[in-house]
Amino acid sequence: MHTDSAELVVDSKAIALVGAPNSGKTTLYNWLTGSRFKTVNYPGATVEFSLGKLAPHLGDDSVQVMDTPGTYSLHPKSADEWVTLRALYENPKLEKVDGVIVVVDGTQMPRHLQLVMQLKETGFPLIVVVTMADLLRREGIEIDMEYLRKTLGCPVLSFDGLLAGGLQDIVAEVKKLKASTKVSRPVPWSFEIQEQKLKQCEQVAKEALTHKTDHAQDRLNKIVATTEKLDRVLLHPVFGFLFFILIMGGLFSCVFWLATPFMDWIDGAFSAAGDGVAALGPGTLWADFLSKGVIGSFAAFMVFIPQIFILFVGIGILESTGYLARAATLIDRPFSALGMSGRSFVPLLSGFACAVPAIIATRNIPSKKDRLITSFIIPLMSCSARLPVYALFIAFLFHGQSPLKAGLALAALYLGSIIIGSLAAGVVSRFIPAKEPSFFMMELPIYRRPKVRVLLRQSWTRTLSYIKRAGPVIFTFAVVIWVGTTFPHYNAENPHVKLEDSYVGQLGKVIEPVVHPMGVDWRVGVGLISAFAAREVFVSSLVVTFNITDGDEDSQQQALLSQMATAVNSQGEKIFTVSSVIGLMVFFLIALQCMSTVGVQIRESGSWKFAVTQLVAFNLFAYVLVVLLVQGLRSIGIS
Amino acid sequence: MTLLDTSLKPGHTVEIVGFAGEDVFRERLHEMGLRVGTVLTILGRAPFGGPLLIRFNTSFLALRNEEAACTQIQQN
Repeated sequence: MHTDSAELVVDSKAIALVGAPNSGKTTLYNWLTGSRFKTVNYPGATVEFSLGKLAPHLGDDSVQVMDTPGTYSLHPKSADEWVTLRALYENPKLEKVDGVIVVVDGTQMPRHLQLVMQLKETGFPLIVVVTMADLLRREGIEIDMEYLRKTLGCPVLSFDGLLAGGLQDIVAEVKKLKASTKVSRPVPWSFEIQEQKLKQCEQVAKEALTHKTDHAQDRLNKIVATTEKLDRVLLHPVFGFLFFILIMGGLFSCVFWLATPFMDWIDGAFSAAGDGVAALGPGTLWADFLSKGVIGSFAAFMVFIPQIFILFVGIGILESTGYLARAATLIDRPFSALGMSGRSFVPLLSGFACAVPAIIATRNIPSKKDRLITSFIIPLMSCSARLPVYALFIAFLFHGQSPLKAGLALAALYLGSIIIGSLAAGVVSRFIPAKEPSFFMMELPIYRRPKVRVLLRQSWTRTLSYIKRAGPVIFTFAVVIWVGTTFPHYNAENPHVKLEDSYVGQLGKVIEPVVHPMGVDWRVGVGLISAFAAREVFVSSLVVTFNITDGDEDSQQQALLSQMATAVNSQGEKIFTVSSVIGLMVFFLIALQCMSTVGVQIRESGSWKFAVTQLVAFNLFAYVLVVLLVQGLRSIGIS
Repeated sequence: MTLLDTSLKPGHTVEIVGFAGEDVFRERLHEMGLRVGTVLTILGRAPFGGPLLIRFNTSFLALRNEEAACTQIQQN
């Protein structure tokens, strides 16, 4: 009979998945863990690894499976490869790793077997899983598994990521696996040994392929023929760039246009819920708190979920087809001139939707310096939360004029954010020391059809982790704003008086001297402060501070515009003039008014200093620039 | 000559005869599957004089200039 503790020792097992990037490791992980996988993020770690339990239908509840960032060897050269090594040897979440599943791409065996050889030297009990079985089968290639088993001295199994063929056999081997007590650190190979081992791996791969398949190399060449043809167009010196713009433009438009109906629906649902709660106790403080504080703040944040989900799906498609590696290759040259890398492109593009997932997406960038610079300038990309603010000011400036002018103004703002971002990257790259040599050496994987199910599930998990991460920050700040605008005179009849005497109103008057050089008064200052909860709050804040009462959406905008046209400060000067409105737009273009961005930045960079420097630098720069701009415009006669 | 030699055109096949330059580049090139004796095909260049595109066996690789410069080759 086993005692409980003995059973725990026997049954509890932790298995790590290790393999090169694009080897099909994460697909295997998703199949092994089913829907129960969770992502774990460790402080200080730059790229996360995932820990999950074996899926219930695979039987064993006590087996833990860990997915690690893709690595070519056990001698790390970039931050994410370090994570893999640490996950194996100093894992903070696992007592120890009992065994390793090495994932080997069946079409790339000569290269990928090197990792098997390295792991063998460490003494970890191994299971080798050969993926891409579906691709090989389609070309009639059969791998001699028995030969590999004998040569490598460990279980070797094949896995079909599309249909999960071979999953049960892998699980059976995992259950049989006995943890080794003697595990050593990897010993680096000299160049001579490296070349020798590579040669050996090539020989093993060749034998394994030719034993059961005639003309194996010709058949392998067929697998890559489509890829070579596609790349002739997609990486063409001229057309390649055109396709790049088309594909990226498509992704970009999808995030905006596809998400709109869902965003409207979420907006409507939350505002109905808010109204419903408000009606339960009209005029009471708790109803106001629930409807405006809690539901209102959640609405402001949840409304971006469709955009974020679509963005994750889009990036997932680019990732799983293999295009992302091509996009990075295409843009590498121009971006390296700015101190970044080709891999910086997709995170920057995501920044136009929302900086929070964009900063998370920088994990794809191997060089720490490139990654820091990229996440530094991401908040300069004009995110979707700035759109309502731009829309209001453009409507104010070009009221009653041709829509073309308004469109051009908006385009200029977007172009401006790209130019300012490039300049900032060029400047900041001089201040961040390069700790590791920046290398590109991008593997271009064979083009593959994306797996819809995996893609959707993965995007949903990423979205959920975004909600969990940013949600509490946004919620807390929104509650603070509600308290600040409601107290101390929460029972004042006139909402205008209530705001003016509130803590936020008092603060607004304190900061009035600061915002005065920008050409605006304390009410706009309050808007700028509340924009820190979410930038689009600025517009609704103006509605409150300028005492706009019309509840109807369209006419509320009209009412706000005409109120803005006549609003004067305490000295009787107009607040919203051409110069002050341009100044405000430039301010929104540059300033970092987003607490959730700061929160994510701290977590991802692992440095308060970096995030706070960025916060101060962006806002100070924006402020000084806007003051100079407004006063400059006024001195040349533009009011 | 190196992989950067201007006489090399898309479609040319070359054989690696040696490595030079930064150790970390060489180590990574080995890990990527390149060694003395590997035969590779030049596929071309990305726009704006971007990375060099090569193919060997079933693998495709994009190399920056400084990475490609580490690889000494002879034309077959």
